Amino acid sequence: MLFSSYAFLLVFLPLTLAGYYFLRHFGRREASISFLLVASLVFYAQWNLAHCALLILSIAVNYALGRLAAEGPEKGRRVALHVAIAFNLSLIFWFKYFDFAASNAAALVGLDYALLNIVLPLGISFFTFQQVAYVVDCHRTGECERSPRDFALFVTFFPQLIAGPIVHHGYTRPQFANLAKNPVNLDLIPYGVMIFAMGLAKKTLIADPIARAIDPLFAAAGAGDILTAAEAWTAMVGYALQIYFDFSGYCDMAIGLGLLFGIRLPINFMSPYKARSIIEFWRRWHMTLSAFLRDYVYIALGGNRKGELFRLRNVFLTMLIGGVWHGAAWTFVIWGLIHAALITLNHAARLWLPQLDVMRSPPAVVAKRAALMTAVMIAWIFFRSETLPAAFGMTASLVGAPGPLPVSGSILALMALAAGLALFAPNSLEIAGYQEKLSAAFPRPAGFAPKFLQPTPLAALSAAILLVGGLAAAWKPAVFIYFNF
Amino acid sequence: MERRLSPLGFLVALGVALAVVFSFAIVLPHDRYYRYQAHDSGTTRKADWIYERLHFDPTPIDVALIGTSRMGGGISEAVLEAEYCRATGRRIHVANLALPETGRNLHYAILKETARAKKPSLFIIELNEVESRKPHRSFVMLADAADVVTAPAAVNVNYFSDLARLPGRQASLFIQSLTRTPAVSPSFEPARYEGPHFDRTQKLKLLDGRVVDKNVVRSREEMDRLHAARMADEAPLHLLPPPLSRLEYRLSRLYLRRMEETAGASGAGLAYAYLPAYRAPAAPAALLADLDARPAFDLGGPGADDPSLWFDATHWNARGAEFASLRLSLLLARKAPGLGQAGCTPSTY
Repeated sequence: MLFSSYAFLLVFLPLTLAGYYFLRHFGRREASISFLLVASLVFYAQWNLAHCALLILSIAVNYALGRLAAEGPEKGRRVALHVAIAFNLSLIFWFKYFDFAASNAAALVGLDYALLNIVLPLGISFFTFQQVAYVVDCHRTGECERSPRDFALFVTFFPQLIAGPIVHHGYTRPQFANLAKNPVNLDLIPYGVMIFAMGLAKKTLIADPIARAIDPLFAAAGAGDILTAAEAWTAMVGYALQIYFDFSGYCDMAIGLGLLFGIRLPINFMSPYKARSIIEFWRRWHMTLSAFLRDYVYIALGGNRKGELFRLRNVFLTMLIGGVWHGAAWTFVIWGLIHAALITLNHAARLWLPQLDVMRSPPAVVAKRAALMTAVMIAWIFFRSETLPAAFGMTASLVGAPGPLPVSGSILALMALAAGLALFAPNSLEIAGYQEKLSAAFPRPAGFAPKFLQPTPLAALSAAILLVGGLAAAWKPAVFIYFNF
Repeated sequence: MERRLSPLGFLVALGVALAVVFSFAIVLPHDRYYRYQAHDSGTTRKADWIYERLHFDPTPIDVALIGTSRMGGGISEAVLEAEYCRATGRRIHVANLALPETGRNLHYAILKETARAKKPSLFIIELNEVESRKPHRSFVMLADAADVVTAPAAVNVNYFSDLARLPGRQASLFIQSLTRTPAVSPSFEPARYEGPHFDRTQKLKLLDGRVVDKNVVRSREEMDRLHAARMADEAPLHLLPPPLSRLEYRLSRLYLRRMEETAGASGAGLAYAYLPAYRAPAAPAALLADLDARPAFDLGGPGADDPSLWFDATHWNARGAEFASLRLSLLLARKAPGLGQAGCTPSTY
């Protein structure tokens, strides 16, 4: 049940909202929170019942270990932490990496290996990482969630369950606790609708049509065909735009859905193609993953505690792990290596060539952004391609024989519009003046925020146009790219 | 500065705006020929030919065949016309307007379009040993916007998704009509037109250019294997106990009734043709009992159990199609001998 599918938009979401607000209307606030948990489990279970059982098992184990890590005796707390990390990493290793690791190990020693073709539970990378962070925080702070229901909802809250954002327990806990006692801030609802509508339109009106146009090009490269330069560039630029609007659309929809239930979720995407360096890019792309990698991998590796060279090594390893987190394939390893190399070079340049970093003249900025985008787009080829030969073939085709453009004029126009939006326009959260900090007022008071989107009749009309257009284009929904991880 | 609405005010404004935007989108005009061109079944094309046959071909239609791929690939118009002439001495014009996949709502849309354009004397609607519980997925692509909006909602699992898709269809067809860029051709091209017959009893052309030859004969073992595989996938005919079984298939009954009314209003008769699957029961299930006052031509007969007549578990092969077409022409000559015009020259096909 994708956020952009009719089953979700026309059945699941209206029923869940109706049930939630029905219970709250009659003062059953605690029950409304339980209802959200049940709805979230139904949302997950309709994909695969067995995987839902796995999710529940994972929640139960992490809940118990989290309590032990926070409240047990000192030695027990440490053991609980290590067991939790081992449990979560084993789970993700088995489902996501076992076949890849075993087949490569077998190939290395010349043995045949019959793939087990283990079906990857949806969102396993997200809910596993979220729970790893939770148990580590329990161990660090000595605080944990005592209510199994609230812990389960923290993990399964359906707007963020499948593809993030990766949420800290300390971020949602006070919000759910508040909702259990107090009314929903209804002012959030118009913003939820508007941000959701923008996300839906990004997904179904921009990302999906571009995907339908460029998928045959990647399929051709995968089949060993040699693409023309026009085809390779179209595929590369098209995929860069597709994944941007796919993930940006998903993140907007997740935030919008959260607001509809009175919950703020952290910002996960902030115009990454406007970045002027790869460091800045990763502060804008999948921000909660970057933060997780920084807090729980980079720091665990030693951070900057042993000098600059070790810091660079740790940066490199962290990015490589981030790459492999996306999938068990050599293409993701190469993608991770490219980004690891780029970000390490960027940090090194800041250390040893600081004059590069401070260049702010317009030509320098344009040059930096162009260089960054070229590198990021080439890396996307590896991210998207099924195999390494296909990725290398397409990369080589970028300087291959010219040829006619492989897509229609309307797709080219759509790609140009999408590029303009990604590179120059304010993003949907900036337009809405969204505040992720719970201490900051959101929605901003009308008199103080004239430049931000307000719930006016014109905004309602705009949201209606986006919703009708987004719904109309959702007849053939494509899976969100990040649902695969 | 524009007035900031309260949350409830915003939701009301949103509801009104949704209704306005939706209504505006669905009244966008378009060339209906472009609508039929926008449809394919995923593997084959036929809807554009249907529109051309109904609106650009002056050949009249006396008998219109409406159904699924069983009828589309199982009945030859040429055989029917020739054998009816031989049996009655009358010339009839037959159009096989069947489209792949099941769903009575699409049959209604095709019947309505045909009644409006050609006023046939008789509609023959396909019946099977099973009836679909679901509406046809192509309904939203081919039906008039008003029919999509006024479709029954309570027994129609596609109603809301069809409604949601409608503005996109209308906007897309509007732009295509404005820019004259439909899926196939901006205007009718006689050279491309297949002619008054769309015969797929011998060969089937696929969208990817491949041609499926239906002149194949399968062994009984092979057919029985295909039959067993089909039966393993088949849902029970009735999910509700007998006292409630008439509550099932309500969407089909409703659209069959609409078809009867539309055909009646245009002065046409309506009959059913039973096209069974291989080894299916000798008569259609009494799913549509309140409609069985109409004649139902059984096209299976002994052929239903003859493996040499089948292409797969549900479709006739070329020989089977000839068998079914002959059978239909004889039954038609017997039950409705006065169709078309007097005087014809018996031909071969």
